[in-house]
Amino acid sequence: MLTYVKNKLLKNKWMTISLLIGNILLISIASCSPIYSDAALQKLLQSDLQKQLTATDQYPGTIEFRGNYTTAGLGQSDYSVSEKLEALAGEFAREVTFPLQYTTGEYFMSGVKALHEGEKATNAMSGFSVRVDALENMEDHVNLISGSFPSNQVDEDRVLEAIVSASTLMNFDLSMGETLTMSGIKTRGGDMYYIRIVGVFEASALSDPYWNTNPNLTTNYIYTNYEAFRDTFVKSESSRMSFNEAFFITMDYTVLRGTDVDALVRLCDEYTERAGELFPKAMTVRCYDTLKQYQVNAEHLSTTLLVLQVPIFLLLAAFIFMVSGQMLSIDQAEIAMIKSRGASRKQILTIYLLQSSVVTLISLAVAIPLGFLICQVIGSANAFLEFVRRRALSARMSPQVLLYALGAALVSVATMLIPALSYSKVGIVEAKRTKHKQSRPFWQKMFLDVLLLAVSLYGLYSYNHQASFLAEQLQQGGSLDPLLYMCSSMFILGCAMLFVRLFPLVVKLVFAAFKKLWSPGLYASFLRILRSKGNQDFIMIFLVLTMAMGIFSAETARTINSNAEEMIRYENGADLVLRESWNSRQIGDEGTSYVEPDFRKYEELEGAASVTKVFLGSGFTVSVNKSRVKDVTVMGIHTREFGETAYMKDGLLKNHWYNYLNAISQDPNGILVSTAFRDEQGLKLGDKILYSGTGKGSISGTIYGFVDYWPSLTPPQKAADDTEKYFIIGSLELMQSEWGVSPYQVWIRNAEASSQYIYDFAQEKEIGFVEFRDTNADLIALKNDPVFQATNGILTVGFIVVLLLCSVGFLIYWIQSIRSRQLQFGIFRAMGMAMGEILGMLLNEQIWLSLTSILMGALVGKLAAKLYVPLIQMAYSSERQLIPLEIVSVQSDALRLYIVVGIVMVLCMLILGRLIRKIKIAQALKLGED
Amino acid sequence: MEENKNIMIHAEDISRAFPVGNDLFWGLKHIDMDICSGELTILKGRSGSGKTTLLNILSALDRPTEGKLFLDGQDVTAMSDGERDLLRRGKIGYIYQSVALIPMMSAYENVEFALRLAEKTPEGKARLTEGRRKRAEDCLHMVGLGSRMSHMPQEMSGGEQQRVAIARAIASRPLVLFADEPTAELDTNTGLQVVKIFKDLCRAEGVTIVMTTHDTGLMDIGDRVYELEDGEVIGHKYE
Repeated sequence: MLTYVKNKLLKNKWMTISLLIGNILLISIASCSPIYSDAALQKLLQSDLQKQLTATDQYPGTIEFRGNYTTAGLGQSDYSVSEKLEALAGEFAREVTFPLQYTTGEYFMSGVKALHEGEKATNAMSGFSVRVDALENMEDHVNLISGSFPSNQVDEDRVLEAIVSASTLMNFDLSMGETLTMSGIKTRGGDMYYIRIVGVFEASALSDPYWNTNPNLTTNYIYTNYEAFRDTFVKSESSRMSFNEAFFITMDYTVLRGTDVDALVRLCDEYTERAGELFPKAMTVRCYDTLKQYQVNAEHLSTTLLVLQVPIFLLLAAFIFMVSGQMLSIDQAEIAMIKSRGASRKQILTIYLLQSSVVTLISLAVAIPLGFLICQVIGSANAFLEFVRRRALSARMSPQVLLYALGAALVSVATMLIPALSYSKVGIVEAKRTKHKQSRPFWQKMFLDVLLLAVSLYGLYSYNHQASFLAEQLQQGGSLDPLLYMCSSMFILGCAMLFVRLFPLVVKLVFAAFKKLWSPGLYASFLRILRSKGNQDFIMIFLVLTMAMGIFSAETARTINSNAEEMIRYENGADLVLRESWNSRQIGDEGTSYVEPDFRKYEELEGAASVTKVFLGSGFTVSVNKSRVKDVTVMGIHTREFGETAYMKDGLLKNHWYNYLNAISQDPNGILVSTAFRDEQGLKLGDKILYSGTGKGSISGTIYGFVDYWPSLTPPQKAADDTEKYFIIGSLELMQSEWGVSPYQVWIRNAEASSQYIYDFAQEKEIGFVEFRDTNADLIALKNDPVFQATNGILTVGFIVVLLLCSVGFLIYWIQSIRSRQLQFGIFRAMGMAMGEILGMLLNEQIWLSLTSILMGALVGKLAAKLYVPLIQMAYSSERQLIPLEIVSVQSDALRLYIVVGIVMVLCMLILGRLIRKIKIAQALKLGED
Repeated sequence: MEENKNIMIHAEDISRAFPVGNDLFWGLKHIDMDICSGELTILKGRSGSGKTTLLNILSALDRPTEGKLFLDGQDVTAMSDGERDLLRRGKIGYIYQSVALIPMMSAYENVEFALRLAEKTPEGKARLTEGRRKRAEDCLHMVGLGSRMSHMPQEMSGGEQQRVAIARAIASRPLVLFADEPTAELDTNTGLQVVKIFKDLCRAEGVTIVMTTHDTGLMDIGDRVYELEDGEVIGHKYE
């Protein structure tokens, strides 16, 4: 049977190749999802952990258990609890499944009074305060500058040995060999303990995650031997003192993988609860927030990947179904003949199950490696249909990849078998009888098109009504409901099916209207279009789907990218926004005087095309209409330089924003105010207001314009609260002359795309900026965001898949159509129809079936984008969408699709023309004798 | 007498070869033949004798490898493909062994379609004086299918389909009608009816009919019979 299947596949080699293409793409795209998620999130996780290390200077992989014991009745006086904490920490260390770098115990006593050798305590406060510390395995992590390591024994005179850092030595003016009297550590009988300084140390490597505090900088720590401290002051009941304990479990976070996070978080939660029962907040997981954020990102990314891929899967499944159906229609006579010879339905299905399995197995072998390649393609996506060279993602095989691949393979086998279910039922008599029978398709009888449209439009209505709630959910870390994406796919599919339902009516109308004018070829062509169903409907739906999804993918990706980029540009206001630290001094009751840094250095920057000063202050008060509006934001600008430097998207204001700048430039008191002043305070153009700040006099402003949007300012309608609703833009010169010079921001427009020059400049001049925003860097961070990358990547891959499927599906359908109509063409030729007339017939069919479907697909894609992209885009918005969403469509995307489809159509016509020319009439007529 | 009749088709030294691997198989060898106007000519012979190959050449569906063919005084072998298309459209009717109706057209539409094609030629237009609709209906009545005009081919029996094919072939009043085993898939009675229609056409409308058959019962009804074997004419009878 395997040989039979092999021969069948080879006989229809082009169909087999098409089937393989469909299967390989389906399995590879399915398997690339976990590959990409794993790789991208891993990159993000490590990046976030590294950022945490840089920001906090604390090793993120450390988990701390902290407790205490006290003899004095303050705090935990039950020693067993402290013991339990130690045991819990040990248990946790054993539960962690990946490499630990260290497990370190620490005991210490804080604020212990010590006296120099020979000193006597005159009162309870005599001496200096030290922290007596004991760190497990400290000898392995320090270098002795002088002396020796402390002994692990306490001698009979109650003397412990200790080492100190050079800072501590100098701070307390200690000397080597000196014995300190620890007036704060006494036996039950009141005898004091002593600590002898036997060594001075420095940390071997400060970057060593062993260190939780920089020991070189500690100025009051005295480190005794860990065992000595523990055995004397902790374990021994007779000599137990009040102490603090800490247990550090240090994981190597660089080997932490995304797949470990869920288990680690669960473990941490469990132990945090248990530790909390012993001591409040006993357990601290330094990277906990990072891990939780990872989980949110992972879910978001998985959902995003899944829903973005659903339309591609649908398309691929439809393609596989179509090709499989075509192959079966070719085999129909053979199947019917086999059935008439006694083969059961089960046997026939077994043949096709074997065939599908062979195709799928071959596809699996190619698809999984292809999945890795697609993952890299997604990882290098910079925007829609744009790729850059990036460090390759470290993609790896995992059981999940195999699971996804096998799942897709099963779907593929099932899809290929579906047509076989109906064909295997039909015997030879029924096959001949029903060969030319045309019945309405199932989906038309059940009005599936109407149902799909109704559900998708209801979904749209429902989501639109909940838009603000959904936006809030998303801000809190939720993912967009996958059903929303399904709605857009259902809408597209419903439109395609409705088009196919209504299409014959339109054709009939045109055919009837111009019946007298049609040539014989066109007449025959129209009759064929009107009276042939089945595959024709399918190819039309397929073409509408591919075009619509291509356009929809393109517009979704462009809109998401464009809006996210515009948001960043709007929020920042310019390419670079920075503020240095200003020196200041208080001048009695007159307020603060600032020393303005040299501004010229920015103007002289070679990389800066233009520079301007922008004062931005909040908490100002405006007197208007005998009332006072508080918490107003004031922006002071130099109008010309501001116009040259800042960025404002066209179309946000009624007039171009330069007009507003020009208006206020004519009057030093001229101001622009937010529309909240107009809408809520009833102000009009020309009205005068007074604005002032704490310790600042009032400035009179004349209103020259009301604006909703202004670079970097929150629009009143998006204000989170009243403090963001009101803003004023006025002359910086006037503000500085009235209020004096206050710290302002420096806004810069780059001469070139890169902002590297400012980093070099800051390093060279050793300038530390208290405020620094780099739009370029933010845009790059956006493009590196796994969710954005995945979106761009998947939509781009989807677009390319669409192009490929469209081309292949189109060719298959038409070539198959011609092959099955050879007899008809033979008859037409025998009746005297010229070759040109037959080609004219095909062209007419192409125009009506293919071209109208393609145009319809483009229309449906645009409509779907207009309806659904605003909601989908919510998932990619920053915390608040400050500027209105704009659906972006780039003509070149649609043009690319049209060009490819056009080329394919022309290619198809050429191939079909060649096929028809090759038809020998006599041979074609003989086909009828079969 | 034979000499007094107009020769509608004159075939001179017609041979046809087919490539088989690296060799040539000669399906027809040096055929000389004259078919007179208004006669029913039968080409008889066993299966594989070359009847259909000869018919395809005579009807301008195929080109001979060697030799010349004249139809109604025109050198068909010298014609371009376009001229041959026009010839078939305006002057020739064809009935196939496999019936070969256009499946998405009804019986009426199949016949009417042939008229649409014929009307585009000057000869066809000249011969069709009564309009397509009337002519199509008349032809279908002539073959006894007046009540089945709106039926699709798949709703008819083999014999009915063949009669529609005959109606289609004669609708444009062709000069010559070629029929390849027209009764092969019909029962005896229906076959005889078809042959009677052919005889009537020859007598009443002066249509020249060339027909192939291996039905021995029909071999003697023609005005002229050519017997073929292995691609050669081995016998010629004129009644």
